[in-house]
Amino acid sequence: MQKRILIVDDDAHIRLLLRRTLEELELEGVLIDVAEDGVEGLEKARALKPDLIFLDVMMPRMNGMDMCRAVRRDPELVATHVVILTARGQTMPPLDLAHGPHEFLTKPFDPDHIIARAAEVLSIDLDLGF
Amino acid sequence: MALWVLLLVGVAAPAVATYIVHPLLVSAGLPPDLSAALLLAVGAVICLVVVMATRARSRARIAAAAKVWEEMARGRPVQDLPEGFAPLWAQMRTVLAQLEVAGQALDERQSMQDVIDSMPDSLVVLDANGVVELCNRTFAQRTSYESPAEVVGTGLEGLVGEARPAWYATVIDTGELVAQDVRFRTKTGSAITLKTSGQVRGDGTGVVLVARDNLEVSRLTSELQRAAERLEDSERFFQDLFDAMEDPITVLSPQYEILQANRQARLVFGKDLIGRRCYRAFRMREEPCADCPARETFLLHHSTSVEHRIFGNAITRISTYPLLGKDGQLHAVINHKRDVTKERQLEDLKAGFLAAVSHELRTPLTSLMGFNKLNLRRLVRHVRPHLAEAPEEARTALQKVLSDMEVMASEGERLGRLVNDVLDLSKLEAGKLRLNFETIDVPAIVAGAVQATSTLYQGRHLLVVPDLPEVCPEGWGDRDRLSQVVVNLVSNAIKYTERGEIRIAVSVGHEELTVSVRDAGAGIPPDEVPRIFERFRQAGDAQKGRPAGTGLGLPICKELVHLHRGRIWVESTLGLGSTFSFTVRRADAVDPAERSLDLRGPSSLNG
Repeated sequence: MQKRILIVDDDAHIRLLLRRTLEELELEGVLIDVAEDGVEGLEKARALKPDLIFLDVMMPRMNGMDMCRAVRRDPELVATHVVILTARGQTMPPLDLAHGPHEFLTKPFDPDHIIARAAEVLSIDLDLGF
Repeated sequence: MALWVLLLVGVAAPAVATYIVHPLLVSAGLPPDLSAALLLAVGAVICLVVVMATRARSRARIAAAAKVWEEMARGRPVQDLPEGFAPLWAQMRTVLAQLEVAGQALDERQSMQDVIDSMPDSLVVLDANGVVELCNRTFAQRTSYESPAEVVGTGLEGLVGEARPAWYATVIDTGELVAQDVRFRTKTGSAITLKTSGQVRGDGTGVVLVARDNLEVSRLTSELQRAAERLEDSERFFQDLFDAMEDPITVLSPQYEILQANRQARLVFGKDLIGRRCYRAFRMREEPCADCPARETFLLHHSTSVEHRIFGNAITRISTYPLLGKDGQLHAVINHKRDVTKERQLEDLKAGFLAAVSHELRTPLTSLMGFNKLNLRRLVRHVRPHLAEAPEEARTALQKVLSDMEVMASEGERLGRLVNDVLDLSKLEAGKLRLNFETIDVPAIVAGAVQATSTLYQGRHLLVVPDLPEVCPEGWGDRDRLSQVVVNLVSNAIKYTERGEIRIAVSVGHEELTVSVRDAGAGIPPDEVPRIFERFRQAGDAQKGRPAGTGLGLPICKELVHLHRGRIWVESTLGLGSTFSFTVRRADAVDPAERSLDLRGPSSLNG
């Protein structure tokens, strides 16, 4: 089955940066989708059931924390790994995420770290050359 | 006696020898020269013997005399006084004793005179005949005499112009006189009226009078009145000042009783504040509030403050100050309340603004740095290999592009650090940062910080040496924040040291632990030292090629150390290097009361 990554960020350049960062995984057959806010992100997550979601926190309509909670409550998305991209210094409301894998990455993030982490989560052996 | 012996020996013996013994010896057949010599020799021997004898006797006499004097000087009865000496000696001793008593009496009299002279009231002592026996300087001055001695000896006639005035009869008859006006005559013949009290002397021989002139009485009275008025004025002044304060101010007893309240406090909390317990009057509670700042002031004698959210969104800051008496004991606590709602709203706005700014800055920064890094990798992996055969020009250009992009990457990282530091510092300064106090292993924190900075000095001529005690008492602080301080100081040391040793030591004191970081850098010029902990103040240039700092590291260290109630300082010698040190309190030296306050946090909001 093909692996899927969903990128949810309201900033077009960050979406582009993440896509470009993950290009090498696309070459390995991973499908990459994007969404521009939490509402669209949740719709796409439910429809596409991605293996991995990169999720921004501050977004219009529905923020990343609320979307993350919704994903975690969805029994069909139990296996989806969520990486929350946060700006340090942002106040972090406590996440009652009893189940489901999730982690925080601080902006500005390092593309090398992003792709290494994605490859690891998706169990893809990648020669990253660094 | 000795004289006679001398005369006899000196005159008679030579005559006998010359005119009797010598002719006898010569006639007996001795040669005259030998006889003369023999006699001379005998004479000399006799002389010598006599002289020796007399000297020995006089020495004994002198010694005896000296002994007598010595005994006399020591005031002991002399046993073997030479005859005739004893009565003289006894007489001399009597005279000496009398002289001594007289001297003491004189001294006493003088000191008594001094005492009565210093009295502001007039004092006159009359003997049994109504003659002045003693008076003080005040009386002499009031009656225009030069000195008390001049008045002594004056009779009643001279003193008051009458031989037996009515008041004198009263004293003699009743034994006392109470505040009666008596007209005394002055030296110049005029009169002065003094309010006089008196009584018969203890031994019944004479009268003691104490007098005060009416002018003096009224002067004292008005002075007292003025003093009272001044006191009243000043009291009114302070009361007005107290009441003019726009904030409610109260004074609390250590039993939480309201002792005083200013107008604003009475306006806000009701007129009948005095005497009520503060927690009932202010917050309608049945016992003191859990975070009562007054209690901290009662306990630790220092001022403090706390913020309460009382009605809705209104926030009140309550500050307490100790009122210490002259004995250093705490008598009461001043309680000052201020509505800080607006300030807090502004601060929240500022904090929100900073959070937003930091997010808005981070997002483009993430793009910039991310794309830069991606491009670097693309160039290295996908372009450079194909340029092996390209013209020299193209390869050089690529090399320049790569190196410039490295600069962009490192500057991007610096900008990221700056955003973090600005946020940290603004949080610290707004008092928004809460430390997680716990007992901590300081040497372990130092070792961890050295480990964390190892990538900064690897491959350089630098030796980073931790000098940690084997046994170290626990410190009291926030593990992560103190680690941040050590990492900061060690990074600085590495940044400013070209080669040599950086030593990080922990030393154990009675109440605190001292962490010091010694570098082998250029040192800080003395005029820079006082400002080294200010923002954006970097001494000299960092070693070339090192990541540049943000200029906020040391101010952050300072704020963090101060939040731990520690001290931070630097000692530096130009050319030799600098040592940055800070203290952490030992857990066993922190008062349990203070510990619970630390755990409560610096500015708790509750309602």
